[in-house]
Amino acid sequence: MSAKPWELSSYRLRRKVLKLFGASFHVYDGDTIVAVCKQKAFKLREDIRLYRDEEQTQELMLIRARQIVDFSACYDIVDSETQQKVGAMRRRGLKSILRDSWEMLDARDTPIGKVEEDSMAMAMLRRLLSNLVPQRFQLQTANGAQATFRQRWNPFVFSLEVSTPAGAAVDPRLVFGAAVLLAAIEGRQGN
Amino acid sequence: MRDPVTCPHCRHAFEPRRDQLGGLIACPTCGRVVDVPGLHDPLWQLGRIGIVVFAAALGFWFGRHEPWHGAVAAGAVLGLAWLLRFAF
Repeated sequence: MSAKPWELSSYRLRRKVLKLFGASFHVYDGDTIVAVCKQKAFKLREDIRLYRDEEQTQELMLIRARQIVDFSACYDIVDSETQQKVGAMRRRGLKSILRDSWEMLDARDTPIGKVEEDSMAMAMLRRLLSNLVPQRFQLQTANGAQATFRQRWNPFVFSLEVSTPAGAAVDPRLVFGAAVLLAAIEGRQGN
Repeated sequence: MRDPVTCPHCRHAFEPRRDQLGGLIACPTCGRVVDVPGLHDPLWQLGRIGIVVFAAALGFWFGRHEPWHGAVAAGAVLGLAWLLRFAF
């Protein structure tokens, strides 16, 4: 059986094209699909589930919003296998108007880091040029940079590359959850 | 004061924080995930105030001649709203 996506040092999330309702992502390790992400349609609150394969036989992760309104919403990330909360991601609504910014919380809802767009100048440029300038995020904690999220330039398909350095001090499941949220929430805004 | 939540795994009862309403939180005792009912949402708070105002207005309107008509109308609206919270 293939490795879980968060056990990899780098992976790629790619939005599925031609999906009528909801949204769907594939997580790739090179050219191999290691996880499938389904975003439920017609839900008041965002509900994102990750499965190991297209048949949805094994659920890997559940991400659910606490609020209906996306503005400053908090998303809980749960490891479906162990039924344990991994942490949460809180969108900083006001800050994100100029520069996308998220707060990373641990299982007890204590802030441990932040995920932000690379620079204010680039963020402003992206807001003016829409999705022509690919986004780049960095996860920063007290121990420094822990992960990089790079959007690949493609005006039609959203694709996000995630890389974590060896010996990163953050739970890789939380990094994976953050990547899924960036692709699902921020990726939606660009399209 | 918020309703206490009971962990389905270890049966420990605890009171969640206001910002944890509607979330999936870790049980303080066993650490497993607990689904907290309710919503901590500006839209939800606004909706709650709106429902109370609507129920009061409906109560006054239907209770103009027979007060118990007003009480039934207001009670029906509040009862429906109470049931609606389980949908989230």
